[in-house]
Order: sequence, then structure tokens, then C-alpha cells
Amino acid sequence: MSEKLYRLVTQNNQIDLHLSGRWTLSNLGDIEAKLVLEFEQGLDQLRLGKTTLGGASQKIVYSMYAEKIEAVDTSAVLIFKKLENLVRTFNTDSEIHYVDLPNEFASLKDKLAEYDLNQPHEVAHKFVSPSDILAAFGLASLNLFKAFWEIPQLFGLFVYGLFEILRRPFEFKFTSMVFHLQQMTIPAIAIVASVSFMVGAVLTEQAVVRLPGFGTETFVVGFIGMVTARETSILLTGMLVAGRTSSAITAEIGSMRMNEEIDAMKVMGLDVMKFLVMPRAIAMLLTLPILTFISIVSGFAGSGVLLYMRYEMSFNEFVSLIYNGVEISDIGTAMVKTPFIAISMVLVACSEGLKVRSNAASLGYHTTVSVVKSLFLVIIIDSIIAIYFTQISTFGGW
Amino acid sequence: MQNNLTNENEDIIVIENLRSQFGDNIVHDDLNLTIKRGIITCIVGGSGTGKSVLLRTMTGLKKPEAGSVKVLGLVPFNEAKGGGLARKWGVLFQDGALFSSLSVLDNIMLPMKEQLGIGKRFASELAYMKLFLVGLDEAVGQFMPSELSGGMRKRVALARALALDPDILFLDEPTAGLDPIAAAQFDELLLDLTHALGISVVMITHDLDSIFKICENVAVLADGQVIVVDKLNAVLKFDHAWVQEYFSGPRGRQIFGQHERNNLTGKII
Repeated sequence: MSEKLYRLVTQNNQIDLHLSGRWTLSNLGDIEAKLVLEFEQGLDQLRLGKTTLGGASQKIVYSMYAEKIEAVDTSAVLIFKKLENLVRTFNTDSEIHYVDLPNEFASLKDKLAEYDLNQPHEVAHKFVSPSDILAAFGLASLNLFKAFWEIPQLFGLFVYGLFEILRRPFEFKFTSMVFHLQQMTIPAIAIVASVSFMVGAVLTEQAVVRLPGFGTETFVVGFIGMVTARETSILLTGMLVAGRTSSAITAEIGSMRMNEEIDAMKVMGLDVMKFLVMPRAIAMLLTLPILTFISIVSGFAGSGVLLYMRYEMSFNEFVSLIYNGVEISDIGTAMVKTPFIAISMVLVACSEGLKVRSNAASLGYHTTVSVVKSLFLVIIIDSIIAIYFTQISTFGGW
Repeated sequence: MQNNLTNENEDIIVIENLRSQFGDNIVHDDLNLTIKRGIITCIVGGSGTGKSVLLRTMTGLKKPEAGSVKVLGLVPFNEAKGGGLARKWGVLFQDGALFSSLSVLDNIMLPMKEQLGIGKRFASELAYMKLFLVGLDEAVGQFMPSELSGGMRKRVALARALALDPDILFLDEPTAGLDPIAAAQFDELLLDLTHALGISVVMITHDLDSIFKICENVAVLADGQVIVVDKLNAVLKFDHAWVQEYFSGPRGRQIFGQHERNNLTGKII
């Protein structure tokens, strides 16, 4: 704004404010503070110029000339009220004149006549101190472990749901389950296969290079095959599924909750467990072994392709080495892990989805929590079962 | 309000030969509508006649397939992104569309801070004043949108729509979902504010009470066109099956009768 919107004249007992131009919010942002400051300074001058007996401020005459004003809006009215307030605080008996006010201003002023400028505004302070950060870290860590208290409860609900299915198998939402199975499996195959292929190749390469001596390739195949079958396959699949499926389940159920669809189901007497959770749980139960198997095969393929390209090992030799090096129980171990991981992931994802409240931030929060817990559970459950099988195999088991 | 010198009869929205379609479904065909400054214009029409599509077109959220739409002489679809018109209109969405991660006060301050660069202190003072204008308590400022009742959410959304003292206020079914008392209060608030602030209002509504109480002009949408835009009394006499059924049906007659009685007895409604 190049032109000046106001001219303030202070003399004797008078303050004259001449207004011109457009007094609308787009012009007032910058001048509001300046005008109030100048006005206060003007009042101070008056006070100094004429010290009355007893130190009280004298009566003044404040006039606002608005004949040249082109437009006003509510923000201008707020400023005028502020100035009026300053004059009244200076001396309550002061005279205030508004000259040549536009009609619009009068109606705005009436509308705001009762608005009390001096009421204190509460402003929320959000100060973060280092100890707050430490406390937040501690709380977040505790919450992660608290998640485990929920798991037995959720598992109980799942078993109950399973019995319900067995009791009335025809009421199971088979179509829904197939839909979710398709959603969880088919789009995931490419990513699971390619990631497993690359990890298989990299592990093989690393093992061949690091292990000393000639002909290590032949030993490496069996070892890497075993590691792929027992551990990397299920870990990689679990993590990818946690990332793409757990989050999807939570977001889906969460947005249903935000949209009051869950409430609608409840009042219609439809069981959330039966309609939403069980189809997803069964689908996940089926999808995880499928994807894990694909991951194992892709891992082998990665290993084989690398050995063929870099160390000229023939396909036949590779297959026979895998055949000798990897036992069926290695693949079995991975498969035994899948239902535990699948059920925990899907239950956590559903329960986080059901905790979503009616705002966008909570949807984001619970989706994050769902993925974090799922990843954590994949690793924890995998470790527990791996340790268990290692222990029993020393006693002649698997 | 923004400009005292503007002609009261100026056309603020001019729509000519508008066609809107989704795939093969033609919603509007050769639609013409002119909306005047300084009055409250209601757009009515049966479900599926494209009232919301029209509002979305006027606010630049949808590009028209053919024809021209001008708001204050500008093309909304081009301006909506640039923000040229964003400072001149306020839009009240049906459920308020308050930003759920911001407090009520921050919601109202957002357009002031982002569009005009108003400082935080002045913006918060203005925001509290807007809360007062829409009849809400000071304390509401610190609430989050999820803590508000339906009526309060509408009022906060109105305060946000009024944040920049717009020339035009677009309202999408402002009284839908409110109880009759809250709806009546909201109508009074709208009438009061728009007259005090001199805002032109374009609203979609199904609420016959609102139409009789606050609308000055009524535009009726039917068969993909605006079949009539006129004062309410003239529209009531308009010869079209849907219009007659809408206003002269049992509910329409009852409400019309009430308003007639109130007018005769001079009671302020």
C-alpha cells in the first residue's frame, strides 16, 4: 500500500484521525500495530503537555473523519474499537466524534457494539523442554510393550471367532475372504519375489567372497539355501506384508470408523468380528504361506542366477546342491511361523483400525502404530519360534 | 461492502451456456444464471439436478465442459489455484470441512495468515471477533473440531468463511443436520450477518423454512437448466410441475401459511 491510509493530528486536547482509502483486511495487516502505537504516543504527548492536578489525565476530544474512506470491513471496525478503548482508558469522560461515517460502517459497528475488546484471550502455549522429549520417548517405548498385553486378548477373540465359523460354517463371509485374499496376495507377489531374489543373490555373493578357500561356492549353496528357507524368506515377507497389508487394513477399518460405518454395523446387530476381522484374518492366514513360499523360491533363484553368471555354476549342479543342502524341515520351519505372524499382524491391524477417532490425525497415528507393531511382532515371533526349533533339534527333533 | 461505490445491481456471478457432464451423464445443459450483488440467492432443485455440481463449478472446484462461468468478472477454475478469488469468497461446506488437526482459532486464522500475511497477534484478535460475530463463546477458540457439536461446527465454519470479509459467501445446505431451533438460529445469524457485513450469499438449500425466511431471490434448477430466477413470490406463481409440487406440497403450504400469518400480525420471525 503506497498511499497512506490515515493521518493522525495531535494538538492541545484534540486527537484528529483522518482516514482515506480502503480500510479492508488486505491493507490493514501492516498498519494496525503502527497506528495503535502512534495513537498511544499521541496520547502520551497530551499527558505530558498538560499535567493536571492530582496527575489524572485530562478530558480530550477524539474525532475520526471518514469522508474520504472508500471501504471498511470488520477488521477496520476492530481497530477503531481499539482506538476508542484507548481514549476511554485515558479519560472516561472524553468526547468521541465519528464524522461522515459510511452507512456500512454504522451497521458493522452496531453488530460489534457488545463485543468486549478487553476480555483476556487464552493462548495455548506448547513449550517443549528436553525433559518432555525424554518423557515422550519413554512413554512411546512403554506403549510399544503395552501392545503385548493386548495380543492374548485379541487372540482369544480370534479363537472365539474361529469356533463361531466352525459352528456355522455357512455364515462365514467366504466372498469377502476371497476378495481380501486376492487383494493381499496377487499385487504383493511381484514385490516379494523381486526383493527376495535380490536378497538371495546378495547373500550368496557376500558368502562366496568372504569365505576363504577354493570352491566355496559348493558349500555356500546349501548354507545360503538353508538361511533363505528358514529365516530371510519369512522375515522379508513379514515385513513387506506389514508395510503394505497391515497399513491397508488399519486405514480401511479406520476410515470406516470415521465414516460411522462401524457404528452402523453395530446398531444393525452385525458382528464386526464376523464381518470385518475374520475374513481378513483367514485371508492373511492363507496369503502369508503362499508369499513365503514364493519368497523361498525367488531366494533360491537369486542365488542360482548369481552363481551361474558370476561363478559359472550350472543349473543342474545348483539344483542338486540345494536338494542336498536344504531339508524339507527348513521350509517347514518357515511355514510353521506364518500362521502366528499372520494372526498377530491382522489382529493388531484391525484393533488399531477400530481405535481410530473422528479426525484425520488419529487415522495417521493408528496406521503408523499398526505398521510399527506389525514389524516388531514379525521379528519377535520369528525369533521365538527360531529359538524353539533350534533347541528341540538338539534333542533329535526337527 | 468492500467497495461502497459498487452498484447494488451489479452482477457478481454470470453463467452462460454452461454444460457439465460426467462421462455420458449430462448434468447441466445450456444453463444460464445471473446472480446480483448484495442479496441472498437460494438455489433449489430436486435431488440429482446438479445443485452441488453448480456450486463446485462456481467455486472453481470443477471445470465446466462448455460455456463460461464468471465470478466477479474472473474465471473461477483458473483463479481457484492462484488465489485471486480465494480472498473474495468464503465457502461453507456441508459438514463444515474444518481442518481436524487445527484448533478452532487456528482454523479461522489460517486464511488470514496464509492469504494476507496478517501477524499472529492481530489475526488471533480478529479470529476471536469472528467467533463473537457467529455467536460463539470465547472458550470455543481452543477446542478441536472433533469436540464440537454439529451446530457449533457450522458456526465455526461460517466464522472461517467470513475470515477475510468476503464479497460472496457460498453455502452448501447450511441448515442440513441441525435441529429446527438451531436451524432457525442459524438462519437468523446468516440474515443478520450478511446484512450487517453487506455480503452477497449464494446458498443451496432444501430447507423450506430457510427459503421463506431469508432468501431474497430463488433460482430453480430442473431439467439441467435454471428454469426461473426471481423473487420468492414470483417463483411461487411460476408454472412448472416441480416448482408447484415443491412449494405447494403439504410441507410448503404449511410453512408458507405460517410465514403469511406472521407477516400479517407483524411478528418478527
